[in-house]
Amino acid sequence: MLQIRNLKCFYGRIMAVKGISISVGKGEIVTLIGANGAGKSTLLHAICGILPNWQGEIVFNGKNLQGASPPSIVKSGIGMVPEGRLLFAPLSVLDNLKLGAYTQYRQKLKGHVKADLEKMTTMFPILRERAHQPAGTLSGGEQQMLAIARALMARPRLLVLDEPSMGLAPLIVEKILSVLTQLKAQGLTILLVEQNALAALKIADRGYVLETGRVVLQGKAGELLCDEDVKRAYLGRDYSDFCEGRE
Amino acid sequence: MDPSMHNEMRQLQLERLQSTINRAYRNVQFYQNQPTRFHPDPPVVESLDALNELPLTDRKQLARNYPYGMFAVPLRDVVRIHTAPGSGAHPTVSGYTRHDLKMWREIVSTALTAAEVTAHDILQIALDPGLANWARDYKDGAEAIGAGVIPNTVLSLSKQVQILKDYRTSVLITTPATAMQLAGYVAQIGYQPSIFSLKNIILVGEQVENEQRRLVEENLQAQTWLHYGLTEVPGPAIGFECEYHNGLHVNEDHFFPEIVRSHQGENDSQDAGYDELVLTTLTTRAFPLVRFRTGEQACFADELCQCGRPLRKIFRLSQRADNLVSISGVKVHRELIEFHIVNALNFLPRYRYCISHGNDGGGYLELWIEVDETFFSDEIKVLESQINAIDDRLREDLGIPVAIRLKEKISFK
Amino acid sequence: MYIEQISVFLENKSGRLAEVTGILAESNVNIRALALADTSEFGVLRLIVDDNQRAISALKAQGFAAGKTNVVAVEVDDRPGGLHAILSLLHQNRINVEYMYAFVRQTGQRAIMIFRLSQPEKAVEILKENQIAVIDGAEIHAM
Repeated sequence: MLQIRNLKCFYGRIMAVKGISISVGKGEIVTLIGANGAGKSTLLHAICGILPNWQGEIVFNGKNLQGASPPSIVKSGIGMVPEGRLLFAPLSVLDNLKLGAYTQYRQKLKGHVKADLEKMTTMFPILRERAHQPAGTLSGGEQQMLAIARALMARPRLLVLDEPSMGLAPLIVEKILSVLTQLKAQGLTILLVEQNALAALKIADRGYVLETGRVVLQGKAGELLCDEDVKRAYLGRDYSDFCEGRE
Repeated sequence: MDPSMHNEMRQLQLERLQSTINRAYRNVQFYQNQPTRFHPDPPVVESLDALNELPLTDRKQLARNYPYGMFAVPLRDVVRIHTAPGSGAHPTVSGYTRHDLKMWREIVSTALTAAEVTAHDILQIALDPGLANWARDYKDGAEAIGAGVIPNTVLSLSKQVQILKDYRTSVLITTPATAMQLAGYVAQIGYQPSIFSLKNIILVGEQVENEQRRLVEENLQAQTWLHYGLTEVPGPAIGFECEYHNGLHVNEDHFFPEIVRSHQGENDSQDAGYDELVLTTLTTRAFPLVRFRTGEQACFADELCQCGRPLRKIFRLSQRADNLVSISGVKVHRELIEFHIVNALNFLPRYRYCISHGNDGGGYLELWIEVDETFFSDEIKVLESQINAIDDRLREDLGIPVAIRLKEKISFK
Repeated sequence: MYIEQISVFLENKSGRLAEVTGILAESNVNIRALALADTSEFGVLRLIVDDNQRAISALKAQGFAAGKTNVVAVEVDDRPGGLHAILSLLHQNRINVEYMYAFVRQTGQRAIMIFRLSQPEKAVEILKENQIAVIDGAEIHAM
């Protein structure tokens, strides 16, 4: 579904991403893990058209995204859940969701929106509860749910999430990630950037490990969980119990 | 062939190649010191074709980096080390992490599955001591498929044949030389091939002529399959035959092959050069190899195989590109032979060596040493003890049969 | 006191021995004594000749590996037990015989054996003490 080859991203003269190649297959959850500054978010920004100058190839379902604008990328089927949620705080939950569906409006698919709103509030009951509250009054976890739901309103085929666990309690993180697993079961493809490597690898099919702008390791999530280097650098403890049966 | 499958494989290879290069250049001093245009940063290889910008790696460099210089992971992550005699005072080593061993199981099972090996098979391994590492890898790969395995034990021909018969071995993994010996032995003692349950024979470790294959197939009534691997570093089943038996598929998920024009000596003008098979590992963790010169001459098949696999095929040429000879899979380096001659005699006479075959088909190293005044003694026992000194050292180090012959100057013309 | 023997390395190929004798003949070298020791692979030809210098240069020029060794020429009583007496004497004195061979001579003349010994100096002393004649090089080459 998504193939990236030799992506190079610049901030002025600094090359933050130095030739990264990754791919995401249909129906997979792929996670990018790595320390701060490794280039993960930069990569996502390039995919979603927010980063102006990048070199290399980003191909989504056969379409080259070089020079494409963010709206056209959303229309192609990529939905982004940005770092920090970036909700419209004064607007209500419902309004936030409706705004997420703006491409549907533009394509005159108003009918979808009602059905989708129903779907979202069913999937995230808390949003139904707080439907008319301003988004800014929700808790961190609830805001994350709203951000995901908003992105889903655009009916994306590929959902891209940038650090969804940031600032959230472990229990909430688990809930968020189980939502992602549910979405995958419904046929969604997910690219997940996460600093919480353990949580991400537990739900992902495959992962890539980034270090200072390059991919240094990739493989099945189960293999990465058991990998000595990954354990040492990102998992913090000896998770041998996770390795039983995964090898 | 499905172009999307091809495209997916190339994407996979590019991703794996780039991360391998990043890891290798980050963790292995040898690669860090290599002069590329990106130096001191790790190189960025933008396409599979651009790999040829990077320098080649050869066995001598591996030897110079003994013992841990080429390891890309901390030693505590290395769970297995394979050794081979090497080219001088040090053995050649190759290291494997737990993940690498898992990869090798996959590599070997892919090759075995292509040879129609299934969980219902009983697999017997009959390899020379020099291929002990491969024996382990094949056993692991076969067990991963779920086949029953009779692992490698050094047995006489007659006992191998007994096991073959009594345990209803259906798949035999062995060298061409041993297969020929078995075929000859079976014919000699008058066994009918029907008493065996043998279906498939996988030939490894050496090249084999088509006539020899036919002989083995006729006498043992089983299909032969060729596998290709590197005995010292990194392992077996890198190339394997499919049901069309027309070339060796390279296990391209794990190895990226190139054919590179190389030259043997320093004097390029004298030497037209060889088409040498160069391999880059894509998944190995402990011992990544970037553009490793195998010393084998080979060429790519022109078209993809009818079997439908997207893996390119290579054909090996009978002559090696380097000066190594191989006996039962054990690589014999010129430097090693010289090393032992000098240790035994305290100087280096003129010498020559080749592989010879005994009447039973078994291969051995034949070494000719020129007798001149420095070497010569009027006493036979002195000459014999000098021969024995070299013989003992070579046998001990290589584990292969050796025959040393003293020759006059005239035999070297 | 010693005799200089020439030894030549030969492969066990047919014709090599004939080649050696041919070269010596051509160089007008006369062979006094000769012994060929062989294994399955090669042989060592031992020669006492009348002109060592000429012999060796001729052989080397033709690519043969040739060397010189000191051996001892001993007169043996021409009767049963003659040789035995010498060998026991050497054995008693812990002197090893590496090899030995007879000297070509005409009947009626003295029996002479060429010995390669582990301790030639000591051997010569003992032999002389026991009144056994040791023939020196000049005499041999002149025969």
